[in-house]
Amino acid sequence: MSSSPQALGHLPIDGRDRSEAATAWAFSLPSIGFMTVMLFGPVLAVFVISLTDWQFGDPNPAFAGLKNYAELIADPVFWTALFNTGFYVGIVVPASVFGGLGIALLISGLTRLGTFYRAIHFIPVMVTTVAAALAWEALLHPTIGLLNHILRAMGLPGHNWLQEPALVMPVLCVLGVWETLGFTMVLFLAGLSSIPNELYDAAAIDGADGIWDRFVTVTWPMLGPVTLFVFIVTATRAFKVFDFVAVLTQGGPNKASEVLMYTIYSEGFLFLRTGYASALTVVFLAIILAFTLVQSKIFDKRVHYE
Amino acid sequence: MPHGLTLRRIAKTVGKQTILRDISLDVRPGEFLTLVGPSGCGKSTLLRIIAGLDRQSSGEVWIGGRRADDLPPKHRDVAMVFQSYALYPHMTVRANVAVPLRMRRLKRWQRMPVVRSVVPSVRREETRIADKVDEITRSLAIEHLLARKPRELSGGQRQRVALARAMVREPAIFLMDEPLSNLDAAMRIQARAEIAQLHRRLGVTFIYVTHDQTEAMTMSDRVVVMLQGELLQIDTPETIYSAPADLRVAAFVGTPKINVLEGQVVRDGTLEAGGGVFQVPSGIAVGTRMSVGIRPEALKPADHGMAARVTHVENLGSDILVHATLASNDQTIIARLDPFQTARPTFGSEIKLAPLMERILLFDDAGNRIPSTNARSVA
Amino acid sequence: MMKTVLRHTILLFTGTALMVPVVWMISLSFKSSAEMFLPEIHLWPQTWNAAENYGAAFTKSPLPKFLLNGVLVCGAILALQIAVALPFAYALAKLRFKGREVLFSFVIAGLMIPPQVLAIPLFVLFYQLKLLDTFAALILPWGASMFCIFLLRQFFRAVPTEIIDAARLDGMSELGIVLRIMTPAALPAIGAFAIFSVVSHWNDLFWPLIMVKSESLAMPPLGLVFFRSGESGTNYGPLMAASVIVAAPLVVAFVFAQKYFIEGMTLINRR
Repeated sequence: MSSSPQALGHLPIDGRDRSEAATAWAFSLPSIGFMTVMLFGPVLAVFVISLTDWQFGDPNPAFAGLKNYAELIADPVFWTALFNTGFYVGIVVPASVFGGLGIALLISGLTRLGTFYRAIHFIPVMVTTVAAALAWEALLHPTIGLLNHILRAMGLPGHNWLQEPALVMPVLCVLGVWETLGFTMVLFLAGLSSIPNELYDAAAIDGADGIWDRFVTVTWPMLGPVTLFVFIVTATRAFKVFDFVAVLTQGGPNKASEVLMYTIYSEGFLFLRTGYASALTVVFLAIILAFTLVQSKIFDKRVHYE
Repeated sequence: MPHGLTLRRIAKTVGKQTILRDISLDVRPGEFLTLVGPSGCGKSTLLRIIAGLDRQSSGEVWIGGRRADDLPPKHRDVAMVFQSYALYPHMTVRANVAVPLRMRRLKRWQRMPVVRSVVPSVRREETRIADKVDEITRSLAIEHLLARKPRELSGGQRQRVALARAMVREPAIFLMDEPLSNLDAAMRIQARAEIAQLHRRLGVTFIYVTHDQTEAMTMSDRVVVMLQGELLQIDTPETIYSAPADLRVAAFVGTPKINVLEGQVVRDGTLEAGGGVFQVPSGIAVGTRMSVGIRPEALKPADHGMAARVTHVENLGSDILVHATLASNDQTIIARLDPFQTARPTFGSEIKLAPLMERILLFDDAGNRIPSTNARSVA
Repeated sequence: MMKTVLRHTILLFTGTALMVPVVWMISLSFKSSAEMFLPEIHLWPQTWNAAENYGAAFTKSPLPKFLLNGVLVCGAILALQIAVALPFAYALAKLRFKGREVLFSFVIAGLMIPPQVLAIPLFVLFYQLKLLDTFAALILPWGASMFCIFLLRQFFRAVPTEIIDAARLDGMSELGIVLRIMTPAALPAIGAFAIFSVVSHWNDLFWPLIMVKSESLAMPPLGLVFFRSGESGTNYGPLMAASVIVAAPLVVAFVFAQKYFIEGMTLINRR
């Protein structure tokens, strides 16, 4: 038995350590089980399957090397999907981030009506996407839809919003912004409320008391970490867009609204081309991981104030 | 060029709560004035009203002879050091200190990132600003920190940066809101001296807010004691201590707290309280209730005096504090004794304590102080 | 003054714009299909068809079953996630054992993997296990929520170790500590996570779409899709009624517990 002082709470008895470890492993077992079978196992499996030519139902899949990836690179549908998804992300993310920031700035500080405004802007985020999609479909209907009705009343032409190739992606972007604005707004509201009021006082005394000066001197810099975070989270969410496309357009007309997640779905579960869909999934994962890694790099480096 | 400050009947209510009641005072140019009082007494609100950050409900603020009520903070020629320093976390020390100058001397378009490095006149102004920042930070011995961000600085260093940012404006009035409360005890003593020296050097009017009466008493030319939104007394520290206008002022200033004995006038000119007999001005009706305030250092053991039993003795080395229970009313009083002149009382022993009559303070029923008629009274 | 008026005007404008599809959904759910084809459009229904529409929604398709599935499956998923995460988070936070840091880095890695990536392999797995088109397929994949584990671990770490030592001295078992000391301490986190989990799984289309093909097992969003393919033509009345029914529970709950919902849905913020 050693005579040196031990850390508080740590008895120098070997048996206790061993039983603590045993308990810990027992407690970890269910999680480890699920993590292996439902998470990391499948991730590995996706990589492996992507290297085969497996069609679902085929009893003898064969190793095919990088054939699926070669096909993917040559597949115009893939590139269209990638482009459309990028387009969607490129519109929805800036629009909802800056829109959400603007709304948050307007709402922050309002006491009574603030809760009300926050609620009505956040409800679109809460509404089940499929339900919202169906409502939008009704709204955008070429003959009986509200939008065309209003346009015609103003003398402007109506359109078949979800069926015209040039219009369908922009329209989906509008839906995307509609669904995301409240989310970014709420994140910014939290960020704004954490800015110490004293900074605004100091700025007022220093001469920065106008709306623009306050924003540039205090608000925007202090929102740095939050803004970056919101960008990345919104981008990863937008990249996974699926519900709107599955319910409203199924990638059409003629792949005009084909997005990556839908391509994976149709290749993997409609056409049952499991190997190819796995390759698509690997590409999808790679892009998402790139987003997330960018986040950790920049987040830790530049914008940490504490 | 220091400015004086005049407050006329400043009041502030928020909803149903009255935060400030009828505050009037005159601050002389170059004076170091402290607003002191417990938390919630309204001193910070008053400071913010002086700065222009909050608006008073009624009353007038005059700065340097001009009515300041409608002036925004940046036009009042004041600078403020906040309790948590309020340094811009994303800016370096240099950028922090430069903000007031850049706001004042450069227009918005001149402050834009590309412009400031390209347009010659703007570059010249930026150089002048940089020189001024160097000068001020050197005078506070922080010029080696110019490239750091606030999160890399210690509490004391941050405070100096906050001071620098205030000084760079060359204000007519310096406002400080509990600037020492975030420092540890050792740093506080040093910072106290530095702020006092700064005041002497700059000769500018300082208005200082604190809840710590030691700071108030040691640093100020005059002290304003506030309680629950009211101005109780404004005087030099010595006068506040020896001639408090109010029982509450007497109780707030001085450690340990002043002993207060309640008693009654038994004959014309004589008051009995706590087992002791005190002389009061004649003409007061018999039966009137009054209070006697005796500071711990004004109590001495004697052959004739108030009887008490010692319940606790604290030996501080330089003083002995004796806690004792009075025989007459079981009240606990504290006496401060000089260890070189009296023997240390033992726990449980019976002693008699006599006050130095010229040091006692008399208060009427409402808490107002009555000038006593004792010889060498300081009233 | 002008600033305030402008502020409220803008907010009312944006708020109204965002609510248009929701309001329209409700409005259509009250209308008859004859009215929908009229040339003029009114917000308020000219013919009150609510009873027929909502009645049709409930009877012409197993909507009640969809809702029940939603409740059962979301409840089961949440219970499973918490049951699995609690002891693991405790072990990661407070117990000393070799491999703790390695396990935690797996949790972090797992956080970065979007569930869609697992769709194909899990589909294959459940097919092999003959568990496709069962409740198990809807519930089991979500058993270990990296999120929940991460969050609980953070909360558990904040519990002072002295409390745990005192409990051990009193003879409490480790499992008892988890249930009687750690869980109460982390109730806010569990509450917020519960909202996050229920909302995401109630609203999930993708997963039921691939795992389930029987109507009797459909979750609410999938049920709506079935409903639409079942209804003839564009009979928007009952379809919108069904949509309202599916979306309403969460929205109504949100309005009454805004603070909690927002906290739960922005949980990712807690890095």
